[in-house]
Amino acid sequence: MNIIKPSPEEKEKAIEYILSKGLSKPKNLWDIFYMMYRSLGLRYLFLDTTEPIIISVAFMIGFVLLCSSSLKQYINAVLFATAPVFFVFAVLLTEIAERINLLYELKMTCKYTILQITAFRVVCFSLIGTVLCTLISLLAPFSGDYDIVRALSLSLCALFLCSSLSIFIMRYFNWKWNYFAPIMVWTAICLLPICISAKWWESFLSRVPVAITISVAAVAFVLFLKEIKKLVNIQIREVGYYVGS
Amino acid sequence: MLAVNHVTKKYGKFVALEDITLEFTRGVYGLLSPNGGGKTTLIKMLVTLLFPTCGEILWEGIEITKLGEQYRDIIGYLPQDFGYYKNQTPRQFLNYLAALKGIDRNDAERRATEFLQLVSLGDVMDKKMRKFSGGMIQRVGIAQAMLNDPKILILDEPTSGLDPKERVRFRNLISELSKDRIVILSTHIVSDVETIANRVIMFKDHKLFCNDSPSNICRTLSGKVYETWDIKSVTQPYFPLTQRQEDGRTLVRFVCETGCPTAARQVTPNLEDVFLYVYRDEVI
Repeated sequence: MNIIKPSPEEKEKAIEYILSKGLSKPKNLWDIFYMMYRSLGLRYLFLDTTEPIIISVAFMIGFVLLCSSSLKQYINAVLFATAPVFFVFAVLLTEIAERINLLYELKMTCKYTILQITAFRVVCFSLIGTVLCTLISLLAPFSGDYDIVRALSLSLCALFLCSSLSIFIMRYFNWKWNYFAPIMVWTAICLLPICISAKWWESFLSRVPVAITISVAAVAFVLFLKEIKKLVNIQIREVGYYVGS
Repeated sequence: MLAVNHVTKKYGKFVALEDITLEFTRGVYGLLSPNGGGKTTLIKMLVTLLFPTCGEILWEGIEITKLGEQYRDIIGYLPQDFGYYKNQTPRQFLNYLAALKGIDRNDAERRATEFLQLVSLGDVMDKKMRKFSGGMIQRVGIAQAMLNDPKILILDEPTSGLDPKERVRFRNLISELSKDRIVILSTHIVSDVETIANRVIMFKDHKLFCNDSPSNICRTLSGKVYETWDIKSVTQPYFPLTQRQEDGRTLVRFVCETGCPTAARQVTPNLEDVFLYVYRDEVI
């Protein structure tokens, strides 16, 4: 039988072709965010979010003013409760704005889905939250036993615990109202201990070693990044619950 | 090829679609069923907004959920309730959606202009959409669905809100677009499907009732559809389909499975006759 065999060059070309088609390097989180930024720009990434952001900043200022009378007595508890306020309301309000929008369905069928855009926004909101936490820690009234490192680490601890847990719930459960997760987590972690026993909570937060608060904040930050990565890569998420169902 | 293999979709205990198997290659496919028949559920599964409870949907042999972004890149979708930003112009709106679809900015600008002209909105592409009629918005919707030059174009009730002239223009546009892609459309307007669809897919009792060409489907009632002026004679066991006024008199169209009245004239059945007859027990 006269079988035509490929030349070594043809074989090499075919192998190269197969490798180029079959082995594509998976994109990491920052690659995805960079591509989204390049394609959409900040204008489209934050379309329709001006009001939610302004309202969230107002909520945070309002919360601080509301707690100002007990600031000296319960400084650590108040800082712990204040830190996630911007993040919680910014995520909640932007999510509500997206889901009541009739474009939600259409956006979920595009290359960059709302879930990916939400992940990008959540990272930005947590960055803004971190800046606000730092500012509040710096501006908080100094007293004899006020420790700025403790204040800042407690604030970041609260912020990243709230954000990582909220994203976990929003990502893992496909409930109709799961965008209320941040506010539920905030209530459970930051407000409930104050309601149960503000004195005990303040005493606990002021005595817990700073090394522990820094470690918890670092672990929560790592978990937050992992949750963001999972949120970006979600493929199976039904949206029928929200629009047109 | 897009393949739907033994797909069932349940919402709790309610079965919206049961054991549906379909294959889509190039051409126009019309989905036809009464309200709540499962058309939108199937469409939402095809665009990955919903997922089958059982079965699988494959594009070129790979499950669409596994393809993710790759699959979303090749679909164009016009939802039933199409939202838009009233303060944006069609050009701005299409540029925004093009960015979401990952289309390069320069390319997006060119395509937005091209498709807006194709749907006859070239003159108003820089005017705010706030004052647009339902038909104009629907045309913006069709243009956005075409932006990424999709291999699969899925349109849910695309002709609702269009006037007769716009409907004819839409039919021509779809015929043009379907030459090199799969077009799947659902509609209540039977005449739209009859004119442009290569195949009509009908659901009954949440199952696949038929998947055939319009002419073959019409043939199922061949020799059974009649017209008469004698409205009183159309009683049981005949099934009345439609009535129309001509010269001040009422002409009744009906289905007769057995012997027919002598005054009646046999006519060629159309898709609307089949639709009305097939779904006679359901509220349409």
